[in-house]
Amino acid sequence: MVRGNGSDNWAKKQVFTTGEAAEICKVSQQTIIRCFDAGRLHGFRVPGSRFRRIPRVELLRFMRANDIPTESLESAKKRVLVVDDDEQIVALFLDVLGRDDRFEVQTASTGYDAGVLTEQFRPHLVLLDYMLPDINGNLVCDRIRANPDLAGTKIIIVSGVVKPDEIDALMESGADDFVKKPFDIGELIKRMKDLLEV
Amino acid sequence: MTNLQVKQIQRVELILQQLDALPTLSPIAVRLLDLTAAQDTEAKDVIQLIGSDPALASKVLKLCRCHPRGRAVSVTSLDRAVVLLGFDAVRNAVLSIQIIELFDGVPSPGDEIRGERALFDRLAFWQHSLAVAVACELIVASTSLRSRLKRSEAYLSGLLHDLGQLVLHVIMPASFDRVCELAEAYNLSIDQACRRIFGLDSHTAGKRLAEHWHLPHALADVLWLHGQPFNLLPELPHREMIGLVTLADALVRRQHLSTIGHVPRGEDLAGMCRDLGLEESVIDAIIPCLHEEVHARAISLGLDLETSTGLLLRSVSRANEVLGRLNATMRRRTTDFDSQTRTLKAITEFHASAIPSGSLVTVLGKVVQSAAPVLDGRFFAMLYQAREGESWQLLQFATDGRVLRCDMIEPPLPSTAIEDLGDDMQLSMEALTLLPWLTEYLGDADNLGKVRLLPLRCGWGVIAVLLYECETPAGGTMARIQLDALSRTWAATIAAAAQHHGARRLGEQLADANRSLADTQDELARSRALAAVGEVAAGAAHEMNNPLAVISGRAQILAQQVDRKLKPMAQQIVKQAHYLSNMITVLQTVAQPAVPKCRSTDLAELLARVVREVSPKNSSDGQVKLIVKETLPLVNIDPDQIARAVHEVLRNALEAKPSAQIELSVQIGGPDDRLKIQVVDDGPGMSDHTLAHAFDPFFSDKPAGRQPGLGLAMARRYVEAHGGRLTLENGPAGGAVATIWLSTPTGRQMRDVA
Repeated sequence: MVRGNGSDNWAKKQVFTTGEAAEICKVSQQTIIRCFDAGRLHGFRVPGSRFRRIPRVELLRFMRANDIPTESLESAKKRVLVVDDDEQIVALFLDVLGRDDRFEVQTASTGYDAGVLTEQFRPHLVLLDYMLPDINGNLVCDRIRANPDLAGTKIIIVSGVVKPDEIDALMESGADDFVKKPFDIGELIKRMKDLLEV
Repeated sequence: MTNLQVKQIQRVELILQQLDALPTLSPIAVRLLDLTAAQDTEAKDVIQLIGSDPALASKVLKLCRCHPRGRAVSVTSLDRAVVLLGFDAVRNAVLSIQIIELFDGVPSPGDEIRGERALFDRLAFWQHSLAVAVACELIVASTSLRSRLKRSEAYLSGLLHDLGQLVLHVIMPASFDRVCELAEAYNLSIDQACRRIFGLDSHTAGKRLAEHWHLPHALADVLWLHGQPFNLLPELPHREMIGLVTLADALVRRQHLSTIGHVPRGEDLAGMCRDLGLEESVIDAIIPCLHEEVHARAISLGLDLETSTGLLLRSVSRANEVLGRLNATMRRRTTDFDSQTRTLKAITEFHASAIPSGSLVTVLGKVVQSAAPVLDGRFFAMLYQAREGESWQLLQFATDGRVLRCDMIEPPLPSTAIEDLGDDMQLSMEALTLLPWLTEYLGDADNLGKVRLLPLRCGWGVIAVLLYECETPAGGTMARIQLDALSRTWAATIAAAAQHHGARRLGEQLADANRSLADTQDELARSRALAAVGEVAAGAAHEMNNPLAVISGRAQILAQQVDRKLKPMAQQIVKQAHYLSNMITVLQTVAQPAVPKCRSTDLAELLARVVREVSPKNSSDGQVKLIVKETLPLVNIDPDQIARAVHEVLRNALEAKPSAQIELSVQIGGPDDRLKIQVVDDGPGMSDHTLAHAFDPFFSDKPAGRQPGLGLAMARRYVEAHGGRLTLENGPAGGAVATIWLSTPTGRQMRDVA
């Protein structure tokens, strides 16, 4: 479910034509076709026709492999994944961040969903609750940190825990910051911006 | 029945058995008794019987010649004797001869050992018996009794009346001597003494012997019942005979014709005479011939007696001897009594003055005070040990009980050395071998050689040793037993004082233990309560912070969207939500403070920062003055926790009084270089109730609902987490004084408080 309201088409698109890929990569369409046909850029042909189609993920891989800047493909908005099992907290975050057009937000209510979405959505920042129904926040933290593809992902733990020892342990498992619930919205946004260098 | 009674019964049985084991009368005597008892006996049978034993025959003839009638009719042969004197006279003569010979033939066990000192004199016994026999015979012969009693029977009854004594003496000579001794010492009759020692008297023994020997009943009853008042005697046919023997016995004693048994008791001879229907003058009539007659009979019976004059003289000299002995005993008893009186007086005075509940030293002083006049000493010291295991002390006393000097005996004294001390010994080589160090402490004694040691022993051993300097040993002026009594009294009182002292100490220790137990319980209760609070707070944190986050977040959004009028309300919601959440955090911190993250910290700088934080913007609301007199080293502390602790203490002081003037000082000092951070305010001070509860979570002496009373509680937990202490008290100037003690400024011994 995509809740973002970005105006950039590329950011939303999941499958690209060779023409679109050429525009994004700022190369000629022929070059894209050649690469496609040589198997260096994977994709598929539309069934019943000879039109080539390239999935977003494959295009991103191709661009990174060839040192082509990916900004044009990605949105200017920062992708934020909110992980919390409390619906009202999730709703609060959506309200707070949704009104700010610098953020694109997705949400998850379990550690499992969080893992899946981290792969798919590739968030710039995860706002992670500690107490989750299935696995605890620190494990989610560990998984993200163990994946080199997600090296740039920032994590802020947002939790009601008060024991200093537990907070220390969370920071040690790779979180970048800790914000205690209840929080000051202004303060939270500031910390997010600081981390994302917006 | 007591054990003693059982023993006595057993002893009586034993004596009776021995009686039965005595030799019986010779066959001649037995046969003679049979013959004379039978109605149809002829003279020739008796003559033949006696004639068969020539020795007996000659003795009978000899005896018969002494017979008043025998003398007149010149008895030359047995035939004449029997014819002239009758069966009874001959029979009685034979019996007396036989019985005397019988006992002479029975050796008394132990005779040879006792030798001259034997108290029971057999010769004297027979002499007494013979005198009684003769008296009986004379009384019968010269009075109206003649018609009712046979002379020869009276004679025999008198002769044998005390046979029981002789028997007891034969069976148990040593014990019987003891009986005689007892009778003499306590002025008892032989029989009273017998009953005391044997459990039976000579009368019973005599009766049993008579039965064993089949003596005539009349004779047996005399042996048994003589000596009893006439009117108490049972109605027996031979009642008069018994009364006669009793009378004769008393008469003989009155005449000092015997030295055996008890002295005359002033029996009522006249009364006895009246009982028997006699005139008292009868007695006077027979006395003149009594002495001579006794002498004559003694010879004929082979008893080598003295003349009656000699006998009298001997009686007198015996009486004198007894009197002398009595005198000596009296004198000795008087001396003893004097000495005992003195001892008793000393004990009484000591008891009156010494109170065991007094201090041990006081009691020791009282002992010296009591001992001084009794022992007639000059220098007094007391060696004692307050409690087992403690070191011995040597206290020197003046004679009035004042302590002059006190020394601790070093090295500790083995108590065996004390136990080995003899009773009241001189400070001889022996004593110095046991207590070689003693002379070092006795510099004040004039003459060490005259110092004596008197160990004071109580039930469990020597409780103290009294040292005194004395010209003569205490035993010289006082009997050993009395010194013993005194020293034991002293020892008992010292022991009681020591016990009392020990009990008091034990009581105090118990009270201490109770107090520390109560403290521990308080501490345990506090830590349990805190642990519970910690659990609740940790649980509450998760459960409450989520809704609080929603409340706060929504209110923040609201605040941005509503108009100016409503905005403060939304902001208030936010503020209160955060306040609640904060309270949970603090509560959790109080319950389980984090392990301090110590690092080298500039304390002066830290305190200055805290002062800046807490100082009211308007100085009229109070001022905090930081006093740092010395250059402080860097200290190893968790700066956040200590800063927070000081912060809370200062805040508490500022809230106590508007426009408070507060001094915050810091210094390092004390024996273990402790860091002392002190906050002194000029407020009203604290009530006892506040002091007792200031550190309780949520306690506040301010009006309810103003501030959460968690600040001081948290401050204390942070300080405790550093191994330090936070104390609160009222200062001399009236304000409150809060002191943070951090035991190790360098943080070497920091401990974790979980």
